[in-house]
Amino acid sequence: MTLSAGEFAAEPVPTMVDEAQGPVAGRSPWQIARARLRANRVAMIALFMIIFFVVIAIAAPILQALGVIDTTTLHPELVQGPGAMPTGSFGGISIHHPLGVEPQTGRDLFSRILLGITLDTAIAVAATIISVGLGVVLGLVAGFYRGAADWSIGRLIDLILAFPQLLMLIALSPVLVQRITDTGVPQGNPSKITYIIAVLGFFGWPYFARIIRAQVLSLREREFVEAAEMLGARRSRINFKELLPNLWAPILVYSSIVLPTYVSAEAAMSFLGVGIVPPTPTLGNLLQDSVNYATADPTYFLAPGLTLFIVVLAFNLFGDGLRDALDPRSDRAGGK
Amino acid sequence: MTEPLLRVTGLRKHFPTKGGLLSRNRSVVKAVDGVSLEVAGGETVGLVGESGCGKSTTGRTMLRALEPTSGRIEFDGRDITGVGREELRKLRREMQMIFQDPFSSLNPRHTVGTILAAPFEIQGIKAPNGVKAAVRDLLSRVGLSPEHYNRYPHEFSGGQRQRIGIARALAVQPRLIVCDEPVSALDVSIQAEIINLLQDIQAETGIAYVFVAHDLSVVRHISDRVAVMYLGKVMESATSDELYERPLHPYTNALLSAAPLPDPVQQRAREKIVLQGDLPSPSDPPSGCVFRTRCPMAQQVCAEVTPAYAEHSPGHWVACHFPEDEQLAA
Ligand SMILES: Nc1ncnc2c1ncn2[C@@H]1O[C@H](COP(=O)(O)OP(=O)(O)O)[C@@H](O)[C@H]1O
Ligand SMILES: [Mg+2]
Repeated sequence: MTLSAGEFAAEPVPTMVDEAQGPVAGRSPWQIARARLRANRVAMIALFMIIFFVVIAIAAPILQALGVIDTTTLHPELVQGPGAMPTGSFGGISIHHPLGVEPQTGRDLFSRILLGITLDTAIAVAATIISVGLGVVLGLVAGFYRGAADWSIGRLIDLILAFPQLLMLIALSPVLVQRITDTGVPQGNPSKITYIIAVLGFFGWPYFARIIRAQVLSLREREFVEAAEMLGARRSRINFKELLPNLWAPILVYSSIVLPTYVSAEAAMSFLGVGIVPPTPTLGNLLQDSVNYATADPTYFLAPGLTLFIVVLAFNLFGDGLRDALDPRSDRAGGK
Repeated sequence: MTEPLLRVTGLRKHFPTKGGLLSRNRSVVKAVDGVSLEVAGGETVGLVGESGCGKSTTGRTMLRALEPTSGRIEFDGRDITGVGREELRKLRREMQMIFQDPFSSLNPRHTVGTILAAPFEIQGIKAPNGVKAAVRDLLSRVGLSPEHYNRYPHEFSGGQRQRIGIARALAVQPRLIVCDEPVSALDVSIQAEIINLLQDIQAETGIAYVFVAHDLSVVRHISDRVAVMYLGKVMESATSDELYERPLHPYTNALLSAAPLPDPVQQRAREKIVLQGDLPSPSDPPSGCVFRTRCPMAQQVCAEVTPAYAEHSPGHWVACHFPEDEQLAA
């Protein structure tokens, strides 16, 4: 490379202002992510399904109160014969019972699935909020202040992750649910719901905290942080004005990834017998009951099973799309 | 001689390296190992050397962005080696830095307006017509349109981003800016534009620069004086012309011979010095002269005695047992 003084002098002060063309108000990283998300057909279909399920989740209790759906009324007349199986084909499908009825009780399956969606999503959302909230706060503290705070949080995380979670979950369930009841939460399902949310939230935050901490530590190495320090910015300004705005995207992405795992976790817990018990319906306890009739009444098994599958799939696909839109470099598969 | 704006004496910065959890031999990386340097007001001092020789660390430590291991830093005649945090905050109005990587030096979530308003907020600077007007003014001073106020860094090219970085450093009206390889990441065609801009700003404001580069040809035209670094030490320093025309240190010679000359006749006449071997590890530098392991004229004494960094002729300093007087001119 040759740079002579003459060359410098000959170069006018450049006015390369119009390399970045288009509207003067720039497109923010968020706007770009949104446009990218819109262009992702799979993610948009997933989003519509999520909206659909959220509408159901909100509407179901209202419909129940209005008497449009009915999850509790027993219909012994519809479950007759040996084993009290639903009469009629496909698990007793009819105008009044679009997905048939439960064996033994004759309760309307359609109503029970709708209300099950409500409970499942409510539990998953609550558990996500708790684990994200705890994880973000503790991850930020560890990453921002490092030193003793980082060390303590790191050891706490090690401790929690070393727990045999599932085993403790089942073994401690009766004791802890009783504790929750003792604090004034109504006995039975309300206490169990609280227990499930608390357990999922408690065991979920360490992953978040680690991710957020790692993000903070890598962001700190970026030169814009040094530039702020060089301008005399205090620690709190750097933490909240320079680092935090760069953390929303990963927080959102990881939330969207854990939410569906919590839907499945609720189902698994019900299946293992530590979850919510009928007559309150969840997709988990419907499935648990239905496996007893899987061959005799496949509709009863397939309806909640497929619903759970679609809910989880929709959240997962949307989460993937969100990740690709917010952080295109992570798009290893090279998808659209 | 008048008091220089910045005087650095015997500056050292050693980084401890952890040799693993159970290892006992904790060594240190001697990133900067006894650098002395003076920068007069309004002048440009080039700091040149291979990648990894400690240029950035020198630049950061002399602005006290890193705490020096030892040595003394004086700014405007005042010892700032040990000033406290609040005092240092105030000093940031006097000394600033421009960074190497224009892609990591701007926060991707902030608009240009936010980035350039930060210096005013942090330092509590009152702009006569408001911060927004001051930011627009800064943008036009670095050759960007004031209309770019609401844009995000990703919408700019590398050169434009570097201009934003320059504007940020200028916002506090400093008297010294350390430019840490401000053009190394840019296309050759853009490099000249940025160097031009820096020169124009200097002519206008009388700001002093420490201009870091790994390539002698880049610093030649912007620098009044040049210091050549190798493995944490300054090997040679002189005025630009003196250094290029009468290099004394074999390392300077090697660097010069690596850079093409504009004149093909000169280019052919010049013997090419190719350095042998790799850069030694800064955690285990060679004994005596640190350059001796790669020096074409190393003798026994070079391994035994560290050459003093001494004034060979007025204003021309060198650390070598066998400075190459007049060898190139012959
Ligand atoms: N924060 C740090 N911790 C440990 N070693 C470092 C650190 N910063 C720089 N170094 C080491 O110090 C030496 C000089 O680095 P640097 O000043 O960045 O060199 P240059 O800017 O000349 O390329 C290198 O060997 C580098 O690995
Ligand atoms: Mg460097």
